[in-house]
Amino acid sequence: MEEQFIKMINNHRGILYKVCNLYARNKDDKEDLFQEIILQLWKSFPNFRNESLLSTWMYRVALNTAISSFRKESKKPERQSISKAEFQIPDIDSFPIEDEKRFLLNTAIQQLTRIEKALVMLYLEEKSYQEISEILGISNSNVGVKLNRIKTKLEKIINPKNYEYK
Amino acid sequence: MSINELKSAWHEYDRKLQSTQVIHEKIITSMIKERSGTRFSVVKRNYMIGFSWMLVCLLAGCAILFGNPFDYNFKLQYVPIIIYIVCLVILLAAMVKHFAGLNSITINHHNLDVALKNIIKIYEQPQVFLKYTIIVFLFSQFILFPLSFLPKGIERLGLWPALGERLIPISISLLLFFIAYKLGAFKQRQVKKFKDDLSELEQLRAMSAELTTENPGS
Repeated sequence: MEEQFIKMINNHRGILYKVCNLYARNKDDKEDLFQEIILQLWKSFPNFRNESLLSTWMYRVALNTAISSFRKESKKPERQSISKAEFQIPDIDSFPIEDEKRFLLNTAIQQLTRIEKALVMLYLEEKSYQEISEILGISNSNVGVKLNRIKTKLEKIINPKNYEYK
Repeated sequence: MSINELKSAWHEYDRKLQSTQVIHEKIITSMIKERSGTRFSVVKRNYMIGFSWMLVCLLAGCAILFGNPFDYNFKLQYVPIIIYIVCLVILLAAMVKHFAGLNSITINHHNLDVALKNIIKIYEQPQVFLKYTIIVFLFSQFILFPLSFLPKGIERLGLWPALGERLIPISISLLLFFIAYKLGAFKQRQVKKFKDDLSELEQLRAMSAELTTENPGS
C-alpha cells in the first residue's frame, strides 16, 4: 500500500505543490502544509474507493487541509528535520514563466480569499462545475455564480486600467 | 492580459511543476511515519497526559473515599471528596467528548463545506457548564476539604479555635491561588486562548458563509 501511495503522490505532486504555493507564504509554512496534506492523504488513503477520481479526492483533501489549517498556525510543534532538510517545494518564482505573467499570477492569487483561491485554482485547472461542487460541497449553480464574480474580480486585478473610470 | 492568458500561464506553471524532480520515497515515508512531531499527535499526546493525570487524581479520590485515611467519622466529612470525584468525572467525560470530537473531524472524507461545519460545531460546544464545574471543584478543594477536618479540631480545641485553625490552610490555598492569578498563570493564557478561538471561529464562520451564500443579485 505504501508503494502505491508513494507512486500516487509522485504522479500528482503538482497538485500538492500548487495548493502549498497558493495557501502558504513562506518556505517553512509551505513545507509544514505539504507534510500535513501528505499525512491527511495517508490517513484517508485506505478508505479511498475510486468513488471519485483520484485527482478529485486529492484536491478535496489538499484544499480542506489548507483551508482549515490556519487555525493551527499558532500551535506549531517542533519541526521535523530529516525530511525537511532534503525536501523543497518548487516555488512559483523559480520557474522561467514570463515576468509579467508570473507577477500577475502572484498578484491575483494574493488578493483572493481562501475560498476564492480554491475556486480559482479549480477553474484554472479546467475542472467541471460538477467536480468543483463535489470538492467544495456547493451546488453547481452556486459554483457558476461564484466563478463569475471571481472572474470579474480577477479581470480587475489583471487589467486595472479597464476599471479605473467605471 | 486576459483570463485565458492567465489560464495558459497557470498551465505552463502546472507543466513545470509536474516536470520537477520526483519526491524521494524516503522523504514521503518519513513524513508518514515520523508522526511524533505532527500537530495532531502533539494535541493527542497532551490529551493522553491529561487523561492519565485525571485518572490518577480520580483513583486517589476513590482511595480516600473508600479507605478513609483521614479517619472521618461523619458522612458530611465525605462531601468535599465526593464533589471532587463527581467534578473529576464530569471533566474527564468532557475531555473524552472533546477529544472524540477533534478526532472525528474527518476533513479527508467530506467536502469543504461539511468539513468547515464540523470544525465550527466543535468550537461551539458549550463551555459554561465546564466553567461552573471547575468553580465548584476549586471551592470544594480550597474551602470544603480543609473544613472536613473541623470535627477533629473541635474535639481537640473547641469550636472557635478549631475554626481559626482551619482558616490557615484555607487562607494559604486562597493566597497561592491569588498569587498565581495575579502572576497571570490562568488569566493571560486563558484570555488569549479564548480570543484566538473566537477569532478563528469568526473566520471559519465567514468562510462557511462565503461558501454557501448565493449571490443575492443572481
